[in-house]
Amino acid sequence: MIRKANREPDFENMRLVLQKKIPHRPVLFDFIIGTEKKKMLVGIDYRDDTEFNRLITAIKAFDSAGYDFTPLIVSGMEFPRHYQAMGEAKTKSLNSEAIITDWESFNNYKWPDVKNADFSILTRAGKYLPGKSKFMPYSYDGILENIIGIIGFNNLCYMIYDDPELMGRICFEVGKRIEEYFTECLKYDEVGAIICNDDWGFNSQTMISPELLRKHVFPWYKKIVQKAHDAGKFALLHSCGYYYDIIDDIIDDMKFDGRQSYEDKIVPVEKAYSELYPRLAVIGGIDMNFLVRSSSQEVTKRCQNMLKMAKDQGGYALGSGNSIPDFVPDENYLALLKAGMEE
Amino acid sequence: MILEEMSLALQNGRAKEVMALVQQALEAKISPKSILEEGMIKGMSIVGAKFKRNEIFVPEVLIAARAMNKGLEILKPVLANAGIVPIGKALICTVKGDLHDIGKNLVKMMLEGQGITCIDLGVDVEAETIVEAIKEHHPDLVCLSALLSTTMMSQGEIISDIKAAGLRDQVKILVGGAPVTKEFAIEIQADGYAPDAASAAELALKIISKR
Repeated sequence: MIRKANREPDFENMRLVLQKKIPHRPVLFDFIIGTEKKKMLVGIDYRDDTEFNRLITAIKAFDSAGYDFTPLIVSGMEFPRHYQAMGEAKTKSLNSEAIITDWESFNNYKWPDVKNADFSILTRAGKYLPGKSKFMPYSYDGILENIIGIIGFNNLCYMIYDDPELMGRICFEVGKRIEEYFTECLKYDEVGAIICNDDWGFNSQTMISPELLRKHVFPWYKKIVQKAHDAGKFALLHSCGYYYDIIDDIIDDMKFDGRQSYEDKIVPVEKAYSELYPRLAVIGGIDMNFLVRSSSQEVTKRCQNMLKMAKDQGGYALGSGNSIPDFVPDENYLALLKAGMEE
Repeated sequence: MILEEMSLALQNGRAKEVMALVQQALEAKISPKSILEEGMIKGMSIVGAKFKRNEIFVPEVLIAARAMNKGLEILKPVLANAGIVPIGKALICTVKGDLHDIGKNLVKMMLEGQGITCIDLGVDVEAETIVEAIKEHHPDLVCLSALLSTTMMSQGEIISDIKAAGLRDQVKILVGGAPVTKEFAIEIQADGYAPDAASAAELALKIISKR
């Protein structure tokens, strides 16, 4: 157990952050933690033989690290794609998994059905949540990510111009299913907030034009966030890449409570916080490249400074710019966690 | 007039129109070099500039590049017959460990849009393959893309391998990708870094014209 015994997990802290308020103590947020990191956090308790045990391991890992929640995916709602053999590669192509290329492949596509997802895992595994911790479910990729996955990015770019009707239909079919997925998740008391995970940009601009995002992607998230709020819960956006052209949509139209994923090359989290707070909670943001390449002392210093910056205003949770893959040095991850545990 | 129309059609991704205009220009005895430079490259340069200013996005670049390629299908044999050679040659790839190809493909399109021939080695490419390709193709430029903090380290390793093979003086090396910065490019002794695809093409053009 990394966290101190007196630091009880309590989702109330995360709730306060997402309400742009000051939490009772510093709050930690990370979205995905690598397998080796989970092993480090839970030691001999690590089990991954079943979906249920994987989730129990995740609960223990997030508890050990000092988070107030556990993120999870309820399985059964994956959009079929071509298998991409990755070998030892660490990233994948956005062009290699495409299945739908025309109306025929669209008509033959096996769309996932929300009825096939077993949401009862939220109740069954919820019994293992420590203290007042909650779940923060996310989906197996977001709406745009799934659209890109099943069409292929290059194909999507051409389809926008060659067959906008087909492109629109695919967006609709994906969007409504992601909405159904989150609608189900939000019915469970064990869920405190949802994470809408959908990468919309790269370094210098959005993946497709903001106009197309506004037409085909954002309306679904607007409904999803509204449903979260209607259920008395919160919606956090995890979205990588350039965001300046769509930040007003994120805050004023879709009404997300918080946003995660910041990169120093685009907007360093310190700048993001000064620009976005109090309109939006700023989550995580300690740049991935910085986390990988800096010393643990540098990580500690930056984390402490970021927490200090947000201390008297709130609306901030400490965490990585994106996630904690296994290639983040253990000592740097631990430095981040320890900085977040200092009262 | 035809070349202006060609540039505009290309910018709007109207491939059939570009093809027809190339044919029309050739019939009007406009030199193939002018068709390439004042019609196509001019059009792609405007596309690159608009992309850099976020006035257009990747889909618009892709359809413009597709239109240019369609026009080149007609023009290339004529250019070859006239003895007109590309202004330069670039090897391009995503480094070992990365299958990601969006950035690499975009840079390739922008380079080709400037009249630079690209030899695309694909993704997840070993240093050894790059060294062999330099020996085989004698490029002016080697462009290396990486997406992660870990995979970008192999950009430096590739540069060391090119040096070890005694080929460093023959090529200029450009690096790019999500985590790559100008400082990192200097650290690994690359010759250049660009923050986006359009800037990469501008830089490539500058380097090639100096050679």
